[in-house]
Amino acid sequence: MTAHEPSAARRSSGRIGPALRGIASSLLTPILAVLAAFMVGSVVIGVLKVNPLLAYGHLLRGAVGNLGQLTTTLVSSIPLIFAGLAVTLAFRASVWNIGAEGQLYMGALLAVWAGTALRLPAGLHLLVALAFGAAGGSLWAAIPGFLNARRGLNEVITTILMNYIAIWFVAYMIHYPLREPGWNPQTSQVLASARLPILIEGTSLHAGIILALAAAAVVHILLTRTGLGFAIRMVGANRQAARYAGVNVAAVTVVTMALSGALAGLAGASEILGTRYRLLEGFSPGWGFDAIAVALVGRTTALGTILGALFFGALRTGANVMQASTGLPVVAVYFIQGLVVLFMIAGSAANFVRKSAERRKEAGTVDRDTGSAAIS
Amino acid sequence: MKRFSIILLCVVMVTTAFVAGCAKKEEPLAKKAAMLLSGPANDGGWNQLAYEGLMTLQNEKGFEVALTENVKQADHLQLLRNYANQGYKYIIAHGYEYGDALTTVAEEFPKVTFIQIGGVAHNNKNLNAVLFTSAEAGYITGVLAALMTKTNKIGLVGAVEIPSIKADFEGFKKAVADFNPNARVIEAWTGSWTDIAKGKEAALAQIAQGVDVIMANGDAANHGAAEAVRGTNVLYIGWSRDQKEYAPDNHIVSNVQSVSAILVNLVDKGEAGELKGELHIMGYKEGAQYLSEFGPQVPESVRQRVMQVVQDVIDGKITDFGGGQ
Repeated sequence: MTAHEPSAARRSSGRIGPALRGIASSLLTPILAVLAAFMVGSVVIGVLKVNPLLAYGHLLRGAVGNLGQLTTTLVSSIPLIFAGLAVTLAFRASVWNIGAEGQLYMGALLAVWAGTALRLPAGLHLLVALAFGAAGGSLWAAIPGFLNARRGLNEVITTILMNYIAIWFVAYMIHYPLREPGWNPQTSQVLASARLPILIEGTSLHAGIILALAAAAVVHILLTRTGLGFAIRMVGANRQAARYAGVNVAAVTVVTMALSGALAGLAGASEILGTRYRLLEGFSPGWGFDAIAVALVGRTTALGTILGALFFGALRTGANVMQASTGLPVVAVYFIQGLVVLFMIAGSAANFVRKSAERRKEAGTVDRDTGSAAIS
Repeated sequence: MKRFSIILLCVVMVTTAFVAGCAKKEEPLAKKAAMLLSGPANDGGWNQLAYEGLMTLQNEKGFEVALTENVKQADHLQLLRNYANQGYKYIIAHGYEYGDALTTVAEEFPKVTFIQIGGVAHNNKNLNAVLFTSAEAGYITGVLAALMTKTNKIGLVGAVEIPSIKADFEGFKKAVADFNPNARVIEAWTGSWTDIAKGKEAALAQIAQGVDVIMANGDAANHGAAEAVRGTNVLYIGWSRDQKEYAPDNHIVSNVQSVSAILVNLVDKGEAGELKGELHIMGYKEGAQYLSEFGPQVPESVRQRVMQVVQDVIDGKITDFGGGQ
């Protein structure tokens, strides 16, 4: 969606350079959306007899106010980055992966199994556990990918349904085969050799953040610099055209879903191996679904997904402090979170509509540009 | 230019908010209690019990209180640390799922007293655990169901298969086997603390199979089960709070659990310096659980037999509740 930016910039004769102009215009929508959401939100907070500025002060302080809060924000962004990348990657092939939630559950399950049942040297054990996590999500996502490629089943429906199967299967595994002896229905703790190291002593920040950023870089390179990435974008732009151009659309769909699922699996695995060390029912607060919003807000680019995830992580972390400090009911916090998403998506949609109208208007003169925009 | 001024305005607003937020310094207070709930505080069950307990601390013990509802697992550590940093003397987490986070944070804040209700995490220092004796309560309600059923089919509707509800159901089934060996118990789990429709479906399915007494234990599942029995002759046994209002014509008894009694007990001990991080198991004997009033359908002879069982449980004459706690 950002690809038509350069052509827009080329047409403009503003004083700012084209690249800067592009960045500014893609940041403007999110900033305006946040501002609008916070303004509407302040009315609600005011009605609840809390000073909105004070509440937002707590929100900001809670998100980035000190090292502890800042690292908490980063930690809560990690699963969102992975899951957001999963949705982004699939979306670029025009496949809607609504199943990231189930995939991250399967990833967490396999990671916790590898982390508790295997005995391997430190380091290697971690890599193996991460690989199991990625494989869990990958296999789970490949099934709807295959059904879509071979049988034409709508992946939106199959991935949603696969979520339920995964969540209940994981619940069964926690209650019976993998259950730790004792009172609580939970698995035992991942061995020290399979845990992601803590980066800053005294905080919860773990090495998963490095992996998440690396994953974003890999996704970016994959999409922009490789043959497979080109094929993914071609399939995303137009399946028929891709097929006539000799792309094996079925294979690309399955591979895209498998890669997308691997990323979602890592979201679950990194949370288990990095912070909780064991699996309980309901361990995810819905990252797989938030990931869809993260990917849309990030305009389905790797960099945008990181920013989107950081933003949602900060909002969530800050909201916890705001709730606890002001006594606002938690519903008000969800209300504001919802508003931000709503305004962001509305803003992106408005932008998209405006841009496509512009493109249509100039279609006769800049054919080459729109052609390239369609597959980027 | 216009765009620039919008961004500038935004920066100014954010900065103002930031400064306003930093200006307020939290002073540690002596009598402050905070509570974390995994669901809504007005669920009419498990979480509302805890909320009522917190209100008791506020109204009767003069505590300043704070509450966070609908807490997700990923936020456990952060929220516990937040409250500990804000100088809360008691931090109460209501559910088994807080065990790991409590163990970690209790270590970091040795001066704060942590209480886990419905779990077993304790550290012999500042982390205390409280369990309800669900099995004995299941047994007692099971006796009533066993004596009241005419079709010899009894239904159990549970939410999520957690240890306390399983222990409750095991105790219930043991009582039915002891007091009415001909009766059959049909069990259903909805898998959700919040899905009323599923609770109703489960109860309707049981009624269709000829069940004439239903005991429900699972927050919203109770609302659903009660909705299913209203207007029928099926009898209803509630759990957590006195749930007569759910189905006034069908309700024959509720096993009432009192978090208020537990919290008052623990906080009194804490203020006297006698709370040392133990596992407390509380039930009928401690007054943390009791039976509500019986419904008019329950004949005097049955009431007496049930109350005798309650007395025997309190006196320790009955100890086998099907293996659970």
